[in-house]
Amino acid sequence: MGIALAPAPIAALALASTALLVVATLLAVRARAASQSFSWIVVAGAAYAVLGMASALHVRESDGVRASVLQLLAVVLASAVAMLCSTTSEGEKVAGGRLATAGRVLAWLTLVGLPPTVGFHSKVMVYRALLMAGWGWVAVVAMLASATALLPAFRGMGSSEGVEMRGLRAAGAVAGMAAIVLLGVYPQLGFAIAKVVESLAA
Amino acid sequence: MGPGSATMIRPDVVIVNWLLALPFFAAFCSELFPGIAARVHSKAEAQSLAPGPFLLGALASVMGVVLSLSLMPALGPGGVNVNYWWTADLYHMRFVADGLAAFVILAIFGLGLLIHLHMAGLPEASQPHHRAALLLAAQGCGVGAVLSADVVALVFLLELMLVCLWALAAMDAPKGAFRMLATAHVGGLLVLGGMLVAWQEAGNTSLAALPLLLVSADPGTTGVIAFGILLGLLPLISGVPGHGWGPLLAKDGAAVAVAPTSLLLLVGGYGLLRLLPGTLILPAVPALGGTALAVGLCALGWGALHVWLARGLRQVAAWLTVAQSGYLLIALGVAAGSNQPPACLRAASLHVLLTPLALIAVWSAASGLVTRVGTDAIAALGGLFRQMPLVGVALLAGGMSIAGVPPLGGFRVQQQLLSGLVAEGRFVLTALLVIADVIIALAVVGVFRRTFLRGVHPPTVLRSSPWLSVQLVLVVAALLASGIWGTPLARWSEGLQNTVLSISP
Repeated sequence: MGIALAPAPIAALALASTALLVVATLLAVRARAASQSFSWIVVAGAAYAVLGMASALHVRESDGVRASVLQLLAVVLASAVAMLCSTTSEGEKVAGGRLATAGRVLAWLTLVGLPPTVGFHSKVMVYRALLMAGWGWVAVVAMLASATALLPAFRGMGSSEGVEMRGLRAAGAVAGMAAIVLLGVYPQLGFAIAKVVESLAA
Repeated sequence: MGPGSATMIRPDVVIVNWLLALPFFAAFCSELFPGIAARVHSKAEAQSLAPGPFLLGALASVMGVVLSLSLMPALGPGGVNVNYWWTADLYHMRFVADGLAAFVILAIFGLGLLIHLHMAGLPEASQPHHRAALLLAAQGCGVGAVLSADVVALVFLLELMLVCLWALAAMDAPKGAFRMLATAHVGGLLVLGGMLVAWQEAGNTSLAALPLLLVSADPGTTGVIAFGILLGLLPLISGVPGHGWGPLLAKDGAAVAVAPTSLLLLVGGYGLLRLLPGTLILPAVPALGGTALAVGLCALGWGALHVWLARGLRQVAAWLTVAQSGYLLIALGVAAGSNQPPACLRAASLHVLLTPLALIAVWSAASGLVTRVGTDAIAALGGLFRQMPLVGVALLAGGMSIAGVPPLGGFRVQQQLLSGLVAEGRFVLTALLVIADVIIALAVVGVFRRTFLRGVHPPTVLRSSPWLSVQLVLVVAALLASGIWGTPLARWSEGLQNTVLSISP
């Protein structure tokens, strides 16, 4: 890493991102609409990535950069798939659109950190980076937030709104879903991407 | 994986992950593309007179075993160190001759077969191919989780199994399925926490490093790992306080509840045996045994009390599931004592093998009643023995086996457990256990008498699928056989501890 920060700002960054993680997760639980919940969980997902980065800044050997990159990748993929699978206008709503439902479930599984998605590995890496950085309590809070995120996730996965997708949109959604699962069952690909980013940062 | 290394999971484990994921995707695709699903449906319907569902279930189980066997090379030096099943000379001969090396796999195979039978035999079990695919995936992941030599792969497969079971149970009981996944996911995070600490201490993700940590790590670290494992696997075996999903699942999905309850108990139980006594952590952390004992007593007492108070057969099944976890935890708790009585460990491994059978019998009886009579409320039932003798016998056999009544398989478990307790001089605990056994036995007999023998006009009973009867006969026969010929089982369980479940550095 080419960046060298004093311990105090790094600790402040970790504290702020932990606070963001907790608040965003609680707001996701509180939100009534599934889309709102999803948006807050995406924010929480970004907070995980910042936590990984803070760990890397605190202890370089913590693998935090790779954790952070992988987490960002998970968040971006989940958001893209969810965006493609969500309604864009009232007229498009079709209950039980199968591809849309599958996409939504995979997006939520990724953000919650359940297999077989890339989110599982990115979360494990973030927890590990936090432990390596000596921030065991932050890791505990992050795990609690992950468990709490199941509440909005089940609401979101169970909601019946969906779109009947065709053409490029369907192809994009399928590609996104395939990427989520591919990186989930073969995490080395994700690590390879993260390594490239890490070397660029260095 | 050490810091800076690019490899997180070994390639062979990743390949197995791929294979294990395939049925999951098959199930997923069958939902996505109704055309494929319709084809499979029509094929199944065309074979309705042939034993289609049975063969599908058996095939799924065999595939699960094959996939699991491919995980063998991932085992560490202390595990079952065999070659790939398709390349090793005469491997199958060795497999049969040993009778030990793949004991867990065989147990899961048998259990899977029974569950498939169960699901094929119940009228409410629609979409059999979809269910079989999900169950196959869950079975494969469960075996992988139990036998994995890699801590991250272990958690990955454990959680993937939960996702599969959630998808399966959510078809009938979404609330119960959610509670199951949520509770077990929290448990999974606890296990993950312990494993991450182990990873940090050992510098790699091999499970074989756990026994070494006992020498090098400080007691606090070992304690965190040990408690993470114990508390994390509690929801899987329906132990208090992670037991709530069972009764909730029973409310809406009696037919499908048998899969999570039995499979999770098997995987959670073998997981506990492999990760605690198998890695020598159990006797190394003094507080762990006491905690297991306390939680076990709570689970047994709480479960037995609710079995006594239950007003429906599904509740009886759910609370028997909770109560049985107490026996396992008590056995582990006593096994952690200074003398480490081997009888208690034998009891634990026998319990994990035999109790799912007993639970299948009880759950089948409960779900059979719901689907054929329309209710399981004990007050509304009576005089059903003439119409449903097999269901009544299955309920009685399952409940009595859990209570340890001879000549059923559960008697062997209680025999070992009580002899271990007496050898340890724990007479109060022995008395408490016997009291709990008597409470459970009396409660089950009471339910059986009121449901099947009470002299009232019986309600209308629908015809059942022959597969349900086949399954009930098989389960009761297995419970009887395991009780009457207990010596081979005891020998297997002893060998099990020394081979599959033991991890040495």
